[in-house]
Amino acid sequence: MQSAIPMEYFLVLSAILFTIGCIGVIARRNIIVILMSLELILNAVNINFVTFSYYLNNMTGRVFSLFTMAVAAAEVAIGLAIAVNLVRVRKTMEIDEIDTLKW
Amino acid sequence: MIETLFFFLFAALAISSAIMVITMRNPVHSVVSLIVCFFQIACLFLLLRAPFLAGAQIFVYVGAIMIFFVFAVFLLDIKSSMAKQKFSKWASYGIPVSLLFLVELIMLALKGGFGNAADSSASAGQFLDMAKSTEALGTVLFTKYLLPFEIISVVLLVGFVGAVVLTVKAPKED
Repeated sequence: MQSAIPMEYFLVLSAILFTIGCIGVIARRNIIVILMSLELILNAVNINFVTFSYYLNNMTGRVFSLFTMAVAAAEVAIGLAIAVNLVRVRKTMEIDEIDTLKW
Repeated sequence: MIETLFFFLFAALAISSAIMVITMRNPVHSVVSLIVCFFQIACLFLLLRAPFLAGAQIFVYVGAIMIFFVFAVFLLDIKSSMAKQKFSKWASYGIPVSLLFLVELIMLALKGGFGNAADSSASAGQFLDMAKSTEALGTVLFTKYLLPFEIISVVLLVGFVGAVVLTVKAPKED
């Protein structure tokens, strides 16, 4: 017997979290908050993986969500190191002001 | 029935704390809201009968990743950035497009026929038992996905060595 919760509830929740993360990446200027929004996006994907794994009775989704966690940890370590160096060199946390590569 | 109730509790907390992550002016408040959000997601994993993933979520995200963020916030001067404008000039274009994307995703989730696929999957309830679910995860991880598992550990190692290399200051050459 499956759980009483319909599968669509989890899918909609993960869609909402994914969109909130997207808005954070696009709209915020602070580089730390942008990295945190990236984590939100990765977590929304993880919820989707585990949901499909549970409702389709397939373990692959859970294994991949473990891999996602490991990659997220590596990504945060590198990303924050780059961000800290960037802030030290450019003296700003606002990504709008870091636009040397654009011109 | 009671599970649905708990789902709505966790979902409401997760969404509201996620919104707080992107709206708070002070990055420290964002970090705390994100920790709350990760705890709710761990609870959702428990509802999906994935206790090992719930534990890993708390260990990895709350224990490791959020500590990184807290230290980064300590290292950087957040006072100066808090006084400035919060949203970039692209927000007025980005937010409507993101909301449109949300509508598409929700329509896909509701009308995509995923529920039918779930109903028709034959051996339903195989992993309902919490202990059995962890056992099955371990079996699959260390047999079918052994090579990806080893590769991911190398990725982690390279990531952390890279972080150290990036942050250590090079000795000055005379």
